[in-house]
Order: sequence, then C-alpha cells, then structure tokens
Amino acid sequence: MARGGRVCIIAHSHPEFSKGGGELAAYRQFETMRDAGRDVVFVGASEIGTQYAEGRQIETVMPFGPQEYVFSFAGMAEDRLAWEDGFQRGVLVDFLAALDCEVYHFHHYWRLGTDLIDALMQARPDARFVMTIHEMLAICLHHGQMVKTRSRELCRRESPLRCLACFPDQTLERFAYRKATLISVLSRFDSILHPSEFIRGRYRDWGLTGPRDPVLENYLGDAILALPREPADPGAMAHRFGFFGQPTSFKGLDVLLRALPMALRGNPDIVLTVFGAEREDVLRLFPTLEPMVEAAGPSLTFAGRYDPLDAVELMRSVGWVVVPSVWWENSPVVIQESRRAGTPLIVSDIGGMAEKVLRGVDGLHFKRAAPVDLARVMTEAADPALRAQYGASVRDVIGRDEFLAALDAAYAPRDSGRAAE
Amino acid sequence: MVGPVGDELQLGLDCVVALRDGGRLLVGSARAPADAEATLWLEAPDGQPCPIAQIRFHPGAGPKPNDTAQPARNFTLLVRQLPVDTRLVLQSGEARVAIAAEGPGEAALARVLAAWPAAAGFALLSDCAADPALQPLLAWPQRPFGVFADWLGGLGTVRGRIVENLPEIEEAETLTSLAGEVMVVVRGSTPFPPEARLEALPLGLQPDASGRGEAVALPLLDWHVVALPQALVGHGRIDPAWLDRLSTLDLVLQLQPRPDLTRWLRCRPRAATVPDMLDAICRTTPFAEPTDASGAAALDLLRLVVARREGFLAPSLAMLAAQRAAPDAAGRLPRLGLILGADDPLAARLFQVTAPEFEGRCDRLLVMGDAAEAVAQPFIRRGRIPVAVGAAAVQALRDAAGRAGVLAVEAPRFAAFVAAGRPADAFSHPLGAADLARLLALHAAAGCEPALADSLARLLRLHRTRQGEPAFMPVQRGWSSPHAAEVVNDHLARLWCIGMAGTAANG
Repeated sequence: MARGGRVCIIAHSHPEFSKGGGELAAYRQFETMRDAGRDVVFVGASEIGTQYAEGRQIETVMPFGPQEYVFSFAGMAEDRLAWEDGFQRGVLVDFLAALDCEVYHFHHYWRLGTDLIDALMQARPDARFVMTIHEMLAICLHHGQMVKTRSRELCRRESPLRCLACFPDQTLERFAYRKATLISVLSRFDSILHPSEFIRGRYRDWGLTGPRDPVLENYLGDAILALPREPADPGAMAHRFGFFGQPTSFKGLDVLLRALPMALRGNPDIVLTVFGAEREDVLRLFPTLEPMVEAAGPSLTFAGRYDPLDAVELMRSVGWVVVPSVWWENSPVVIQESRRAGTPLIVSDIGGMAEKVLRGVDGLHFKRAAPVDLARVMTEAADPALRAQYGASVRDVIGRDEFLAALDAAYAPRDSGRAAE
Repeated sequence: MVGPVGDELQLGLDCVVALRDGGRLLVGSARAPADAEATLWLEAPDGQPCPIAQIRFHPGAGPKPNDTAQPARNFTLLVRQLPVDTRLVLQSGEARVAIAAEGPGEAALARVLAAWPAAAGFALLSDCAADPALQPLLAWPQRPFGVFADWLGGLGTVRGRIVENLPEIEEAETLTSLAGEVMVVVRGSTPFPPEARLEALPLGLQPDASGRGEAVALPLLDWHVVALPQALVGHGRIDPAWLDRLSTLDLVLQLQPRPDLTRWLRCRPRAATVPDMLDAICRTTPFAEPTDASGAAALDLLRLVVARREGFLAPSLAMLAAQRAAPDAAGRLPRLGLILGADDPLAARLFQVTAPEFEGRCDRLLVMGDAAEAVAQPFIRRGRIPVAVGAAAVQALRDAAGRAGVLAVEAPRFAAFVAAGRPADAFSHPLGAADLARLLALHAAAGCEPALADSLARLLRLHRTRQGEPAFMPVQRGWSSPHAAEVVNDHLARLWCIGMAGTAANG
C-alpha cells in the first residue's frame, strides 16, 4: 500500500497545454489523490517548454504549481520514445529520483522514453513502478492505431512481417529492436493498468505478461462525478443525435455524415449535432461529403469546439451519443462522459467501444464503417420507447473510492500484491 | 666478362652475384654451333666439375651481339659453393672455351636483366620464388625489388582490370582470397587458341622492423590454367600465412595469347570474397553476355575449381568441425561478449535498457556492424566494461582464439529473445577456442562477405540449425549467371556444413 508513501505521477503532457484523454486522466488522478489527502506529485511533459527550448535556453524541469512540475522533452528523439540528449535525460532522472517517491506512476511511455524509465528504475530500485496504458503505440508504428496503412483495414495482431507490409521502408530488424526495447522496459513494471479489457488483451497478445495488469477505468474526476444524473425526456430526446470529438479520419465522422441522409429517409425528425468541429473543419478533411452536408440541411448542426469540462452537460442535450470510430479505440473518454451523463450510445462494434458500451444496456452497436447499418440503428434508436429503455439502463462510471482502492492495490509491493490477486 | 671468342664457341660472363652461405649466381651468354651439342660447366682448380644447383638458358644476343651466324643463349647458373679459381667452361666435342668464374656483382645484374628479353627476368624471378637462396636478389642493391626493380618498371601495369596498349587483351582481373588463393582471368578482344598460356608469379612486400618493405617472391603451391574461348583463367594458391605478413601483394603475369606472342603484366590483385572470386570465372567477356559455348565452358571450369577447392579445404574443415564436438573449456576462460549485426542505430535503444545483461556476463565487449559506434555508446557511457568496435573488435576476436570464450549475440536475435522475455537464452551457447578456430577457417575458405561478422553469424546459424532446417543462407549478389550462383552456393553450403549430419545445406 502506498497510502502513506509519496506517489509521483509522470505524464506525457499536462492538460494545461493539451486536452487529450490520457493527460486528462493523469491529471484527474493527481487531483483526486491530492484531494483525498495523498502525498502526490505531478510531473508532465510540456510542449510549450519544448518549443521554447528550440530557440532559447530553458530549464529541463520547471515548477508549475504546488506539487506540479513540467519538463521539456526537446532532448528526445523524433519519435519521442527515447532520449537523444543523455544529459537532459539525466537531469530529469535525477530530479525524479530526488523526489524520493515510493511509487512512480507513469501515464504512457511516449514523450517519457524507455531509456528514462530504465534509468529511473536503476536509480530507484527500491521504488515501485506503475504504468497506465493509454494506447497501442508500443504495438503499432501506425500511431498505435492497429489499422493498416494502405487499406485502412483493422489489424488484429502485430508481427514483423505484417508491420513490414504497412511500412515497407522499415526493416524487420527495426521492428524487432523497437518491440524488444519497449517490452523489456514495460515488463519490469510492478503493475500495468489498462483502461479496457480490449487493450489489455492486445498487450498480452503482444507479449506483455509479466506485471500485474488489472483493468482500471480512468476516473473522470470529482467535479464530474458530483454532477447530478437526471433522466431525460425520451420523447423529446430520442431523435437527437450527437457526435463529440475531433473530426480526424479515424473518428468516423464521415461514416456518420454518410449515414445521416439515409437515416433521415427513415425518420425525417432526426437531427445530428457535431460537437468539436465547425462545418469548414469537416469539409476541409472530407471535401467529398459536401453534398451530404448540403442535403442534410437543418437536420445537421455544427456546434464548434467545446470545453471538456462541459462535455457531460452537452451530452445531456442529445438523446444519443454516436461514436462511429473506424479504429479500435481503447477506452474513449466520450463514452465515459456519455454514460456519466446518462445518455445512451451508438458505437462501432469493435474494440474498446464495443466493450465499454454493453449492448442492450448502455446502447446499440453498428457494423464498423458501414453507413447503411448506422442509418438503420439511428432510425431504430429514434423510437422514444427504446430511448427510455436505454436511458434507464445505461451504467454510470467508476466512482472515486473504487478508483482509489484499485490504485492502492496496484501500488502494493509486488509479492503481497500477487498474493492478494 | 667476355672470354675467348672463337668463330664457333663464344662464352661471356656478365656478373657473378654472391648469395647467402657461399652461393653464387653466374649470369652470362654463350654461343655454340646449332648442329653440335655443347655443355656449360664449372671446372674446379683440380680439374673436376664443380656441382651446379641450377642452370637456365634463354634466347639471347650472345657475347658478340652482332654475330648471328650461330644461335646464342643467355644463361643463369646457380652454385651453392664456388671454389677460388674455378673456371666456367663451354665445351662442344673437343672444342672448348674457358673463362674465370669471376665478374661484377648485383649492380651489373640489374643492367643485364634490363637489357635481356623479358622472359629471362620472369624466369629468374620464378627461380627466386622457388629457391630461397635467390631471394636476396630482391633486396640488392638497396631498393625495393632489388635487381628486378628496373625490369619490373618496364612491365605493363594494370590498374583496376583494364589493360591498356595491348590490343589482344581487354582485361586482366586478378583476385585473392583469404585462403591464399590467386585467381587470374584474362579476357581477350578475340578468342584465345587452346594453346594459349598463362603464368603468374606472386610478389609481395613484407614490412620489416624499420617500416620499409622487404620484397619477396612467393611460390604457388599449385597452379591450373584453362583457356576458355574468350578468357584465360588461372587458379592457384600461396601459403595463406603470407597474407597476414604482406603489406602489398602483386602478381606478375606472363601470358601467351598465341604461341608467337608473349606479354608481361604487373597487377595488384583485389581481395575478394569466395563468391566474388569464383563468379569471376564465369565473367568470361568484358562487355557482352557470354555466349552459350563460353558460358558452358566457364561453368565446367567453375565446377573443376570448386572440386579442387573442396579437395584441399575439406580435410582441415572437417577436423575443426570434429573438435567442436569435443567438450569445450569456454566456461573457464575469460568472457568476451560480442554483439554482431549492429547495423541499425536504433539497436542502441535496446542495448541502453539491457546493458546489465552483458555487463553481468562479460569482462569485455566487442561490437561489430555498420552502426557499431552508436550501439557501443550505451556501454561506453555506463563504463562498466571495456568496449571495442570496428577493426579493434575484429582483431580482438582473432586474438581471442584459444584464449577466451566468446558470448556471441546477433543483435536482431537478441531482440527476439528479449521480446520473448528470455534474454538469458541469447547467451546460452558460448563459443570456445575450437569454434573460433573453425570460424577463422570457414571465413577464409567460404566467407561470403568481407566482414568476419558475417561468417560468425553464419557459424551461429549452423550451431542453432535443427535437423531438416537450411543451415546455409545462400549468397545474394549480382551473379554473372543463375547457374554460377547455384554452383557456388552449393559449394559454399557443402563447406559450411562439413561435420554436420542431417541438415539441409541449401538455404
């Protein structure tokens, strides 16, 4: 147990500089532990400091608030998995080691570096090391997506030859070195926390089997957990659908926009609101979708960017949250926020989405990347009775006490921890 | 010195060169009637013949250069001992001329050689290779190649393989292998007749303590020449021990593209891998694809050379392979770590996080590969064990033979073991002294790449090959023909797999 010992949370970013799910999860963990009276320090990578370091001198590690620090990763290699500047790595390792923590809890390895982790483990052999996994970058060179580069087909298993098919300019040896380096370091952790069963399976298949590896959902934070979860009016909400997030090619917004005209033919009352992007943003990325967007007329609205802190409130303004990602997703925070809001979901039938949205309980599934099937499901979901059914059954997210207890188990010394499992 | 010159018998002595241990080389010319048998001999003061170790005659101008009535011969005559007042005698029947066996020394010999037809110089150089007593001629007077310096300076020199100023010859490609082989492929502008001839004489410079080179003519242990339609191919061997001692090795070629024409060339052979050297046999024309006839003849020759190689290489390889099976003392020897195939700087990341695996097992580490410097850096920064890369690593490995056990790890395979969670398995088969001796022998006899690391990787592959698996990875290069590739790869596979039972040689 680390209830009394100091914990250092080391993250690949700080939510002050970027709002990705991983850094939000890391920082919310820091706030939660701090507010629970734990001795905890947050150290996050800083893009701003890194950019500044390209032109001027800057300290490698800088204070950023009470028990908070940020560091520049300007000395890292281009892929941000190792340090080219051994001196800067040494500065950071010395700083982290001197924090005298009982537990070093990493969120991600990207922008932190396998060599830094290795050096810190050698500097603090008495400490325990925990890692929260946020994506599959170790397994897949294609941004950790496990989607084939040429065909955009889903990839189900890593192997050097499969990877070579996606990256023919690489070598088999490079894949071997990359995997061995990552797996060598990750295997030494006392605990690896996976936010979903899906991603745990992928890492186990990849070969990461040594550490304890419980599934622990990311915690949304006390503030969001404190929001009331009130039932919505199914009659008013059933035909309102919402998309939340960036309109990247992997998020499947194009699938949703192709499905919308078909869904409208089944139920002209359906409306779709896209949160996170303007119309121009979407058409810049998907110019061929302009006819569909025009045809949707007033049934389609672009709400622009939103503050993540407002996400749960915004999700209450729609009857269904659609997550049409064409890649696996691991544990999308959108799904957690939607469940927290009490809004059922319609998701692609793969990976972390299918796992986190229990069919028949939290929402509906559709065939990944199939607009026709998504249109069918949207038409079906626009029924107020079905909306009422799912509004009542959609599960809430992990609570604070359960989350902290799971952390304590992960922080326990490995032997006793194993005995307890 | 020119002795009494009669109308029929003429005898001249140009020089008498003192050799080691009392030996003498007498160089001169003689003329005798064409229809009468003549004898050249040495007469001691007591009238008895003085033993002659060797005597050679060459066509020459004779003591009276303008006298062409009778055939003349230049001669070189070697004696182990030359008593005082010995006379040189030319006798034909009752007629005889005799002169004192005295004359100027090596300076005169250099002038004589430069004036004589080139064949005489080549013959004398060949005698130097065959008889150590004559080797001092390559050092006197105080200049490289001694009395032959001017003679060699007059030969055509081949730079690369292109032969200039000899219209009947396009290329002279000369190669050496680590096994001490010499391969000469002379490609003509027109087909060579079957009676075309080719001789080769290796000539090296051996650095002495002062840093200057001492010239040495080397005997060929064997020499086989075949005239193909468009190439003359010669294959022979010198003692491979010489290769480590010489700073340079040249080949002096004497070739007769047709019976009435002799040419001499001086070439600097290229150090070649075995596949490169053997494939040269099948590159029978300098420009175009070989004709079917010349290609088939070249393949036949290639098969002959391959069979000859296996004849002289297989016994020692078999002996070394048998030693490998004996219990090895590697575990008690100092531990030398070796990372092979460190060709990608990305591998440095892996060794950065796995360095203790090596530091706990090795007293010293060698790193070989294109990215050896980068891969060595993590170990150098940590400073726990000494690290060597590049030529120093290769030398350390050679020095280790018989003195150290080697934990050889191929970087990509080590990565595979680490990824499988079993890094210790990468160190489970240390190489002992017998393995290192076998490695050096295989590298010389069947090395596929210049780098010793490639041969070591192939040896490790042999060690881990299970029954039915291909033990030899075929060589991929720009072969002159697929047929040559097949013959050479089969040959290499047989050499590599000597001593292995039940493995598939062909990869």
